[in-house]
Amino acid sequence: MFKNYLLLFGILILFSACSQEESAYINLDSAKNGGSVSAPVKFDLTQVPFAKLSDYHFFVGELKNQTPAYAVLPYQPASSLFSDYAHKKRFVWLPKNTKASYNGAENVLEFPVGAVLIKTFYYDNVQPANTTKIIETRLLIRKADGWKLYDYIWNEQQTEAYLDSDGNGVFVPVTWTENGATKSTTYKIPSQTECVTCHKININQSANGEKETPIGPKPQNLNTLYNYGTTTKNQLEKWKQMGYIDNTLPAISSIFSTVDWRDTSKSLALRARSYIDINCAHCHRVGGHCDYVPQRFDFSNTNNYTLGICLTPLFQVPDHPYVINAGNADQSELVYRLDTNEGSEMMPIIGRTLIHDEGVQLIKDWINSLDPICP
Amino acid sequence: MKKLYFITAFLGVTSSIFAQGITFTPFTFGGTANICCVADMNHDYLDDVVTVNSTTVKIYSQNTDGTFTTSTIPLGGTVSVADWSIAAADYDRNGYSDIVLGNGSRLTLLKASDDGTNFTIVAYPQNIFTQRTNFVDMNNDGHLDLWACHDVDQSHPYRNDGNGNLVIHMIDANGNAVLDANGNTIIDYSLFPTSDEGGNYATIWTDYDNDGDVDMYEAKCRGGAPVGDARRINILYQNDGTGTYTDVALFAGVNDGAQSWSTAAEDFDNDGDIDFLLSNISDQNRMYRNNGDGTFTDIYDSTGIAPQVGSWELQAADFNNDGHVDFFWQNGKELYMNNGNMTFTGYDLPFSEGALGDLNNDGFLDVQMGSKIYFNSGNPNKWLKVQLEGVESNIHGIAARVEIYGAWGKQIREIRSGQGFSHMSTMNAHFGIGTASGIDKVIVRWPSGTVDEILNVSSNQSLTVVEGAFPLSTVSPSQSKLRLAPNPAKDVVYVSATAASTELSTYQIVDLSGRNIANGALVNQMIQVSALSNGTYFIQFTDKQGNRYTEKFIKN
Repeated sequence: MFKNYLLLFGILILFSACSQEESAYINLDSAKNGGSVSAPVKFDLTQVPFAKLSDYHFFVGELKNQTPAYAVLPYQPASSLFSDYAHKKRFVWLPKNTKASYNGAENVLEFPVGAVLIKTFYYDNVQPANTTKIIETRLLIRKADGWKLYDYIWNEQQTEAYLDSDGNGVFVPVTWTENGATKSTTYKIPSQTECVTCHKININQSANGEKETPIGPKPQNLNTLYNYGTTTKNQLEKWKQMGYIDNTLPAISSIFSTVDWRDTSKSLALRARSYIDINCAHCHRVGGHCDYVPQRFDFSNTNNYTLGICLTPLFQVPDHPYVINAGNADQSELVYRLDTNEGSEMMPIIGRTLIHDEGVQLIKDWINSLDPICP
Repeated sequence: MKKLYFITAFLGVTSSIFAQGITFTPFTFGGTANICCVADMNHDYLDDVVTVNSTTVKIYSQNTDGTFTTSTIPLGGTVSVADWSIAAADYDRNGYSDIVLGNGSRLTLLKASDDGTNFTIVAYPQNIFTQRTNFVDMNNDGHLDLWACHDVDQSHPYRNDGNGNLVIHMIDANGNAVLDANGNTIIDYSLFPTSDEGGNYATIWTDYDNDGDVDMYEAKCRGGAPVGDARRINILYQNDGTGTYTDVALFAGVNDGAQSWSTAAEDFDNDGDIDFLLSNISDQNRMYRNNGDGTFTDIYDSTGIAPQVGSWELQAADFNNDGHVDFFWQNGKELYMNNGNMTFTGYDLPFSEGALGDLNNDGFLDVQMGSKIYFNSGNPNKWLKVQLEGVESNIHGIAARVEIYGAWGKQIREIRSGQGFSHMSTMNAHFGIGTASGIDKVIVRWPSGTVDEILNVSSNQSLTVVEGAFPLSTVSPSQSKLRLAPNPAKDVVYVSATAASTELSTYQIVDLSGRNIANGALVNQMIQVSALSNGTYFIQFTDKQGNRYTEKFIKN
């Protein structure tokens, strides 16, 4: 009997909430059920983008804590894109009863309309007070006519993030300390066109075939253990369990997967290839922004020559005769470009202002470990 | 992508490369730049070297005795560096050249002060993945506008408002910025509309159809785009004379669909019209020879230039002063010397790109790149430099056509700000004339329509031509639209128009250096001149329809 009243009470709250609030947000947190279940996210896709990050209700509690609401699932690719040493929190959310499907280990999952990918960029130990500074939260939202890219810029007080409405991007100076070293840069929140420069693909190189796309959430990048707080689980298995991937996902053991490049228990080759894939392959693959140069940096590329080993670069660099000069990192074009931050020479071409010393060292170590077979 | 040249072989050693009568000797000038700027910065017509980093401009100003004077100018702030292109020109006509910094996400102007000792930062808030930038007068109002190619979106035109400002945003009739629903300014593309898409890599402004107005050829490149995608098909914008530009690349035969990066526009065969050498990074390069009828024919296969593609940069000039335009680029053989019959012979160089200018005033073009100036050691061939002083036209004569006639026949040059993909080269016209002893005739065709003709010019000199100072001797006084009397005058000069319908409204007096001396509304068709110093002036009149007229005047 009491249960029925509870149910009725809950329903009444449900209806009153619907009629009172303009947004479709439903607050089921109540003292009666202990407030332990976070409310499901729900919003009108046609009203997107919202002016404020909090309008989406992806997070509960203080926005800066980035505590995900119910079914907003944290995730992390095995290796991460270098973004001036910024830390990142990533989340995925799909509307109820929708699923993503598999279309190859090396391709982004086919997400349903309404899917959202969330990526927050922040620094810890920011000077002068050793605070945490959240800089931006990027959203990729799948609408009926394709993926949309929105950038939310956090305020100084760290209470809210606002849509970058003019799409020009913002420069944010930041100084932080990590691993005993203090670094500074002018971090660039990307403009809309900069977002699209990387987040696009014309996969068949067809007329009008260019489409915006996510980059990270490929099965090859999600085949790792993730600590969800109460459990640690393989991410692909977790997504399947959440109902986020359908039955098209093959056996996880069959997915040729990237690794965390920092994991020294893995082979140098796997680590380097994983690093190169996540930092380079979105442009340096068929249909990518720079597919007119011959190297193909996809993790799944098994052709050493098109990967760049003993391949003559299109844009020649004196004394660097090959993209990857096997056994000779210092005369490899790949290393030359990773090890600079001059605008028209560096790679990646956008998305960083600093040199990733650790990444450069990884690639050098890998190239130097290769048999010196180039002519 | 830039080439890094390891200079270890050249440290402290003068080493040379000999190629068909020229050698280049590297000189460490004390600065460094990979996006290079060689231009006359202080209006003395001597090319200077400029380097810019995020906080400082350094000008290595060429002196007449061959030394350089270095000025280090703090900017008083931090700017987005020119990491994709740089160009220079005096767009506000104060006698000192200004600089545009083409950066991967922002464009910034450095506006020179009236005494040339410092710069004001003019930072534009719009995002732009800048590629080639050019100063050019697009609407022929006498003021230099600015063009900036955008790699991934519609290119930006910046309109010179005539008051020393280059304006990109829309303004209303009251001069206020028009704002959108979010309170942001709106880019005004109307000065030079193009399609709303990226792939815009390098532009070169040239009168390819010889009709007296500047046109523009754009090299386009877009990764991931299939053959036939508009973002990789080059465009030829033909000016109809009123500042309206139409794409005629298909008709002209230059709608190359390969991935194109930069173009050299020169009269390679000395037949009086501009040809296009197109550097592609896919498929094949092109040597579009101008047929003289608005169309071009690709003759690359017969030129002897190696088929290798992949060069971003392309700079063309006559390096050995033999009267034929050569070029250098970033492919296997860097330097190609023009054999004089539309074939070229390739040589290696210790550099593959850079800014061109005559940095020791010896009549031979040098190259600045990295930490070096590569001085052209020259040869006995003779030469001529033509330095322009615009009056009604922009001050440098950008878009003017310079022709020289003599034993060789005819050679032509155009004045440009921003050539190749990223560098800024001299705005002086440079010609080699081989062993000829002199120049029969020099003609300057100004954007304003004024034509100057100078006869019997000696070789091995720099000829300064002030707009209107050498009117064609074939122009009889009755063909002039205005008459000044008395001329010379001491106190008052009266102006009358040959056409009764002409209603003159304002006047402006400039001296032979192009400096504004006086201006005002024209009242009673007369101007008081008693306060002027004795000498030669030009008076520019404007009528109520906006037409401009220039007359030479002498105060005695």
